[in-house]
Amino acid sequence: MIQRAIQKLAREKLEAKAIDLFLGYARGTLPGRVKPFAAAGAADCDRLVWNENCDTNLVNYLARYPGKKIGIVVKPCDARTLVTLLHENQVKRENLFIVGVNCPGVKTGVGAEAAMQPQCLACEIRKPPIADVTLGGPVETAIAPQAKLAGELWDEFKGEMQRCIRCFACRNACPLCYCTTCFAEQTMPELVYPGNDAAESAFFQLGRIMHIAGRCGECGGCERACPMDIPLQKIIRKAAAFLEETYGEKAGLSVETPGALGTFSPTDNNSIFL
Amino acid sequence: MNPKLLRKTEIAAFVQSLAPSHTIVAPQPDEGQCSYGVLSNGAQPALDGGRPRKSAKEALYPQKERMFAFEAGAVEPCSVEPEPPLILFGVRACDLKGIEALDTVLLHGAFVDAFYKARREAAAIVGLACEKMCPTCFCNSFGIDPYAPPACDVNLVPAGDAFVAQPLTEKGEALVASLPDADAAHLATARKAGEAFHAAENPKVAVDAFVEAVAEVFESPAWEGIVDGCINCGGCTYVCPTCHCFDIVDETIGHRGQRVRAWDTCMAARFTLHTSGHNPRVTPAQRLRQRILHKFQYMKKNQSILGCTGCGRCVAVCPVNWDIRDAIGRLTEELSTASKA
Amino acid sequence: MTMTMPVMKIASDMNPYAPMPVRIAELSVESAARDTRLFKVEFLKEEDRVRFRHEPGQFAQLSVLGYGEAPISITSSPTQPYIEFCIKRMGEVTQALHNLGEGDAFGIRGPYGNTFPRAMMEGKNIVFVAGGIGLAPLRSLINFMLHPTNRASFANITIIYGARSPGDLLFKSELAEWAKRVDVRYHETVDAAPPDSNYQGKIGFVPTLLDEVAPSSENAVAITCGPPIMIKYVLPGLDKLGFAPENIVTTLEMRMKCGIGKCGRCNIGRHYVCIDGPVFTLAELKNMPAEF
Repeated sequence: MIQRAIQKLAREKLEAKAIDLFLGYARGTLPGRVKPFAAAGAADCDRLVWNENCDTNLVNYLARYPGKKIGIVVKPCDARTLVTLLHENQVKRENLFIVGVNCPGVKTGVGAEAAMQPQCLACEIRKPPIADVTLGGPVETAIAPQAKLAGELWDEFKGEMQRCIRCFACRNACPLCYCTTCFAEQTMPELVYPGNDAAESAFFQLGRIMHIAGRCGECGGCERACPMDIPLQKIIRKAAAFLEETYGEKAGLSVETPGALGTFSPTDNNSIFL
Repeated sequence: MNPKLLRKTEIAAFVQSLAPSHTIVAPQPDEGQCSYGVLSNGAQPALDGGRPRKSAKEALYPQKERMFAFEAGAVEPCSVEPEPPLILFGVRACDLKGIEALDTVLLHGAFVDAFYKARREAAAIVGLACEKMCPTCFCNSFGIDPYAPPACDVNLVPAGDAFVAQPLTEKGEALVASLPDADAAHLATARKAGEAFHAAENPKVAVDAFVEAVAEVFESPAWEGIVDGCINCGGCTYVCPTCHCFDIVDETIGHRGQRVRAWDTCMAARFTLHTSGHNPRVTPAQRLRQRILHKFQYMKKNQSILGCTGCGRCVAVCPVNWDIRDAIGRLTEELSTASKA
Repeated sequence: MTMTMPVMKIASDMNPYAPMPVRIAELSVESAARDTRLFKVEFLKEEDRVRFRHEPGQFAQLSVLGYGEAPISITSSPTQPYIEFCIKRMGEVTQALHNLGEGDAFGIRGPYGNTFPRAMMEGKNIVFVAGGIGLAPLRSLINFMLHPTNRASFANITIIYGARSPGDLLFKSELAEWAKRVDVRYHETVDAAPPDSNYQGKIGFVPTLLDEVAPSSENAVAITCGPPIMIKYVLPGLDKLGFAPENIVTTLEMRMKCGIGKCGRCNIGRHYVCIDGPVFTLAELKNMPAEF
């Protein structure tokens, strides 16, 4: 149903030349996988699919088409990253036709083997905060009790950093990591050496997490991209939870006001600055 | 050389018996999958854990390796210190072929990589035949046969409650000398495993046609066409059994430091960034082209070997389902059509 | 699962990545902006000095421990009793090199790469076209050819050299010597000269000077090196003068790490600049992808 609606919207907008491209998903090459797909004309629209495996955050591709008018499918978490990018002037609202989909969570695998992805288990945002059209009925999902993000997370994190190979797939999969030169790629001086030692990996990951804290839409793209299956979302959620506690705000939900770290008021909680 | 028998219940003890004089690297459980790692005392190799996350190249060519240390501006004298030789235990055919590819680059040519050479020559490699192919592998497309594997000293062939350990070199024969000879029943079971593997209908990728189509190609609109969702993340290059490109950097703390060699990825823009700011490869399509041509054209011409063994890891780890098998098919079609036109 | 392998130690003479220590015997500032210096070095170990035999066109990897390595062409001629590098301050390593003084030590590996194809140049007229620091690699060959034992092997030698400003002209005392020699036709230009300079020479770009000098391509080989924008206009200029692609030689640079054909980053198509280059004829480059 949603798939039909996506195809129809994409076709109409492309035929009317209201958009240059429509970013959606196409069938993948493996069971339980889809691939990002840019429909350039009405004829491509039959290839657009929608199913519970549509996990990739397509917002990551918007930077690829500067100046183009783009139609895009977003889930609530994807839409949150889009809101952040709009606040940060990385994309122009008038260039976008946003098809939001209410989301009960995305899954890895098919049939009996399908498993809800970890970031979806704790997700509380089931409706896209921004969309021109929203598809799918309201979603009532029992949210799994969020794993308490306690002190031992640090030990777990240090352990996971033993496994990090610093391929930077997490960063490349993140729509919010749009720095022209990532601090990890600076060569003068070299801030992050190449290699796989845990201390450098922790330095990189903490640096990246600091950069996306208060901005992250919790789409899980980083964790999905990790070839080593490091549960990156766990520590990112901890940073998000801390900011929510401190400023009473979740990132990427308000189209009107920029996120907690994008505004300043003398009454702000300054506890994090000593 | 007589085939020997290694009972599954005795693997840990057998490996243990080799350990005093060797460092054993074998697959071990890792977050629901398995990874190669240095086997600790008494640990059981995870031989039924499927394809390890990363390739076996890491044992011979670590992700990060010290070239030398230095202090206060002077190179510390280095001496050759014997280290316990490695035994790579339970290496699948795709990774064995990968080692063969690394050999052609690091052991040959005008210069020899002394670090790789020392490890490689001291190492003994125990192969492991696969019982079936998984949805991402396509080693069959490269003519790789897990039952007649390249570059190993012993091959383990599944035989029910045991493995038939077939020595293929003298080094291998010495390694398994303590094991009993394989009995007729187990040999028959092992033979059946091979027959079943070869009889299975597994899809193939037309690699030869692709190698031919891509032999003289550089400029082509086809490259833009296969970029698809590739985000140039480089995860593929780190898990690849043949990717061997590296970076060299100095790491320092105060006046002490070391020069290290560490794996690098051609998917990153900085890979070719000149100090002047000029970069010969700026677009994702150019970088994908480099990765594909290095494997299927440059290595073919320079080393007479392909830089892909069909292990399928790049397919499995890709976050956007960029599938090299699909790319090979599409490129072959487009490049052949273009050359005919 | 991490795999921590035992640290391998390889004897220095086996280790292709270990630099040989050298000492800066003499240091001179070559450019008015003080961003280019000439390093005359001597080996700290006699066996290294004996082993290091280079030919014009080759390069070495220069190390400042703690800062890294950079590939730098050898600007001295093998006919000279010492090794020289002319280095412009560009990145981290060259900055570190510029911070060194006379008597300080650094490391070198090499010589690496192929050489200028001298055999095909013998008996021919030679035309050098250089821009800025592009003179550094050519200077090795120029001084080789001008050496008394070799001069007779080559016919007319023409040198066309330009820089952005008079202060950027390198090797000034040598330029003056070349200009004085009767067996060298030396031509010089600068893009622009500040009004307060006492520069008396030509103003204009190197390709323009090449057009004016118009060296004959008859029985001649042209060797050129300079910034990409200069090369872009020099090549058609040489073509117009009738130089065949086989008789146009240039030397390239690429981001490089190992210098020995292993690290996989300086390739142009299947060819590695570190071992198959850095010297290529235009005919060879025409058969290679335009990815440099």
